[in-house]
Amino acid sequence: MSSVDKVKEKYDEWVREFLIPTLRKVPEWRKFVSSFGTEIKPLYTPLDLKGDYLEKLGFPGEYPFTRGIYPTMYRSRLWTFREYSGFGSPEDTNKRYKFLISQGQTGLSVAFDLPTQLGLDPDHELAYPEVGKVGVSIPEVVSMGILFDGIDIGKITTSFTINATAAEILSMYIAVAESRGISKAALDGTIQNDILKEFIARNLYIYPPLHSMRYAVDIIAYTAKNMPKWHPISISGYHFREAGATAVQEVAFTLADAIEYTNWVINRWKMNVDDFAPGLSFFFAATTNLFEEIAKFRAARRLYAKIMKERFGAKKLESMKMKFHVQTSGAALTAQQPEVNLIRTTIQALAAVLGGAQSLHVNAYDEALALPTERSVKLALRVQQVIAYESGVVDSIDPLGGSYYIEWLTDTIEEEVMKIIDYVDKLGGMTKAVEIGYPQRAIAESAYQYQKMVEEGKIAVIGVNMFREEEELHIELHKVDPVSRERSIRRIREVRENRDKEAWGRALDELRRAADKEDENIFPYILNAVKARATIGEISGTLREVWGEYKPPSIF
Amino acid sequence: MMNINELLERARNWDKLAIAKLITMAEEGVELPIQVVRRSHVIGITGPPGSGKSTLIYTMARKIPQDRKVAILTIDPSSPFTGGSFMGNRIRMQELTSRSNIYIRSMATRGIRGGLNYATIAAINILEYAGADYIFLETVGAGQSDTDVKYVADTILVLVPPLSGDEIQALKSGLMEIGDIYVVSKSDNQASESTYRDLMAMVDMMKEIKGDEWRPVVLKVSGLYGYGVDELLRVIDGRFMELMKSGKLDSALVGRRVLEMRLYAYDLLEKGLNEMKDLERDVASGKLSPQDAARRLFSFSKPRLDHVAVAVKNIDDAARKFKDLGFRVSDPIIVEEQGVKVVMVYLGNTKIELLEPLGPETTVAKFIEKRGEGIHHIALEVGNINEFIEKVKGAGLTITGEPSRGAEGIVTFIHPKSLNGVLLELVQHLSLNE
Amino acid sequence: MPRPKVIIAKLGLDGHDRGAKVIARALAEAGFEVVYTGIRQTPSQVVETAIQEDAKLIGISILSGSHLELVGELMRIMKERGLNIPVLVGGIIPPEDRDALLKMGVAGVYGPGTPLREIIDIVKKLTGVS
Repeated sequence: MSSVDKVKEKYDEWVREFLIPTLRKVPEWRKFVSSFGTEIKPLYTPLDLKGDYLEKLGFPGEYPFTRGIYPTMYRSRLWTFREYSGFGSPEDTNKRYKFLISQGQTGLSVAFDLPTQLGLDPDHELAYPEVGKVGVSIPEVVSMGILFDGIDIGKITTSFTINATAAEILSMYIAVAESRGISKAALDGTIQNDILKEFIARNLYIYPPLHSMRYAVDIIAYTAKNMPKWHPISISGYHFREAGATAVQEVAFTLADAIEYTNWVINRWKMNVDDFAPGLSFFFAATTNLFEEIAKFRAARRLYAKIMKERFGAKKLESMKMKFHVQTSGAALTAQQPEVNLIRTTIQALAAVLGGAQSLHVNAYDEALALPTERSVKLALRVQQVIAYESGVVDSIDPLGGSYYIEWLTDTIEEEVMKIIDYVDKLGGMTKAVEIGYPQRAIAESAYQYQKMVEEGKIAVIGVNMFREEEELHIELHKVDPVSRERSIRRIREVRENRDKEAWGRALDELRRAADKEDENIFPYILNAVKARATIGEISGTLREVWGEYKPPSIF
Repeated sequence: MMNINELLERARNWDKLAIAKLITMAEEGVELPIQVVRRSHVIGITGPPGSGKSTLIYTMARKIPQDRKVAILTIDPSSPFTGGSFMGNRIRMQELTSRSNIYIRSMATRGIRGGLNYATIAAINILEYAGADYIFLETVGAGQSDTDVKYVADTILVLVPPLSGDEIQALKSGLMEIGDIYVVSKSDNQASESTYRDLMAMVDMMKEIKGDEWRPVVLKVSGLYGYGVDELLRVIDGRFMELMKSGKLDSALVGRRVLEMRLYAYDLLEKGLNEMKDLERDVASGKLSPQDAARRLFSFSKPRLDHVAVAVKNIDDAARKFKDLGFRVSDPIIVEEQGVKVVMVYLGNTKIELLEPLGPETTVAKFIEKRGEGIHHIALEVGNINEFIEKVKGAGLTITGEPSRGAEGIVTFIHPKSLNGVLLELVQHLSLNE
Repeated sequence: MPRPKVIIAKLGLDGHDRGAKVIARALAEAGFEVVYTGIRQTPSQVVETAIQEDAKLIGISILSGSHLELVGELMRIMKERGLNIPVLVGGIIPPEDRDALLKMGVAGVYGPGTPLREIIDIVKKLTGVS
């Protein structure tokens, strides 16, 4: 009798003689299921392991990277502490960045206001109420200079959450760097530039899908040749999760997006996958469901490696490594008993670290009520520091690898994800799927089912459907200084008046012509217009004229 | 609150608030005094869900000159369980909402059939009356509405997503026979091209079969990217000119009116089903057969003729005659209060009530003695007997007495002396548990 | 049977439509006819929509922090256009702004974690559905 058979025999005996009789006396207090609906057994054993160790897990830094993408992981270098931050005018945000750096933050992450993200100047009618509200207003290159005033952008890595206007923002960053004598090749950081997920979940799109894809892919092609350290895209599952997706949908749609971008770059620019894939990066959410999230990260990493190797024929290991940033789930925060959020974010951050993240943002506890204060964001940073320096979870690489439960979850998530990816393939890829609204509908359905389960008490949310309190809120909340909006508007008007009108007009004309020619890379023309002090509204206005604006399909 | 005439007056000037209120009234079943004079081009847009109907309407409406009035009716399905509806078709059109020449209204299917309903036709009448040049009617893209639409639309535009050969075969049955214009969602893939070719072949065949002057057109259009829309609008306007010249625009009104009648009938039936919960109870308790109850549904509108009563000397004898004629008759029951033995003879949506006096002193016995056998009284069913009695008194007629228990509910009578010699009974039916 | 129509709209530029869609769907399942406008609506678009649909209630969702400006403008245009129907606001609303919104004439303000049941009940009450 083999050892597996012996375990099987003992397991059956345990179920028969211990588990079932006990359950008769003390029944389970609820149903145990994963976020994607798979039932969870009371116990996992070697019987649940499938496949060979070397093939499925291997070693850190080696294919398929289940245990991590680097041989030493956090023993050589911790993940980057990168709190997403931005509000008001660039002066306000610059002050916050310096504070965060002084508190031990190791990378920057810029939150832009909605007008900047949608290509509207701050004095535009639709923009005005939103200037500086959910992020910083950066409508032209002068503001970008102020944002990084006194910060060494040749050294620090910066991440920009920017998509529909990613090229404009990256151009501004390049222009500021060059004005300080730093070449663009030396710049290190990320622009999100993931337009597909905007159509699916985040909704900050401008142009129709095909034009938007061209815009995104042109940036990838440009940076691959000119900015070797730069990550020109951060393919994001975070927003799917926030919009209501399950863990499986989060990974599946993200990888389906990755496949779509890769196909586009290869087809449009005839590039070899190994020439640009190392620059691709990822972004996921971490909810409070600790083990499921850890398994999710491991499954995503392994599956991505397989896709790059088997589907795209990547040869370089760098092309197969999924580098990812994690943000704790904003949707998991509660406005009720907000301090409890600190406990949630700690568990969520732990999931990211145990899942092998390269970079982490922890939400502040007050973000279900307003933007974070200096105090609350400092506490969020402290969560990362406690995990990194006190908890000991970094001591050994992938410390949960080999856990029967974690490996079963990893395998299960991988299988479920593949089903969705196969379906998207049938639809003709993600751009097509987005045009007909498939992922949008799937996520909306999950969101509704989730909410119903919360209402029915099947999913517990402390302070919301359990242990509620009648409370008066007494916490200090962040306020955006109304003066900063006027400052932004004044500055953009100065920029418009004081530029070389002829160079500016020529740059926009050239941009317009390039937009109309399908085989031109659009990025150098945007860079040129930014350097000629064209504003974000003027540049994206020019592209809107040529490409039109997107109208979403009905979701239901 | 404005009255109907004021609203109509304002709607005539393209006052969107007035138009909106009138459509709501129509949805609630109010009959509006509108004489339609043809002026609108009613364009039905149909095609399977997800084929991009709203996006195409948006792109067309945006390109129509702003001195032409455009109305868009977009139909969403109602839940058969809750009656609610999630109406998301405006999403793609919202940019047009603030344009003065454009009116957009979402309407739920509401009815039992899940297609167009009476209110849709009423809304089209209102919008034509209000002066719309174009009325776009977006169907739900499935089921009955897509065949109904041919009776109300002057032009039917069928939107076809790029399909595989098998799918197009399935779509052809039904949807494919009604189109005046076929639009293939333009896309750069293979399926789009082959769908286009398939449709061209089909249209060629249809032309020969139909022998119509209008030759169905097949176009490649992308609502999403705006390609081909100008040509589509030219085709639509060209067709409108032809319809006007040939007089078909006016004759189309006949189809609309007939459909309106049919849909109104469905609407009434549905309302009847909802309102006549007591019928359901009677069926549940076995008091009425399901068939009888269903027949009654068609006469729920009150007051209605409940029955005609005939005084007879021998009720068993009379009942047998009706039975021999093939009618269903009830078992005799005794109504002490009225001094009669009663048998009901059931007719489609009313009854004949046979009455045999219980004794020589009863009113029916006296009636027979004086006038012989024959029609004794006519009975009307009313919704609320006490309210109706007030009306009777208001009209100066005499009631014979307080309402009392009859064979099938509460009854009273209007005296024949005050009503040209007719004894008129008023009945309010009661359900079992009242 | 009355079937009041309600509008659910995302006012302003933010794209967070999860809550708006969940609430629109819940109201539809509670028997309402719910017109969902989608994202990026201006105050005047929302008012026009309510007029054209003859709506009995407007539900607004904002998560961008611009609620005071945008809802203020909405209420002003409603008054100007003579539209007098209840407005509910949901989203990330700091407590002190909540009072300001109520003062503007908003019928209710709802933050994260509000049970759907509560929202359905208030919409029923405000639209006169028993």
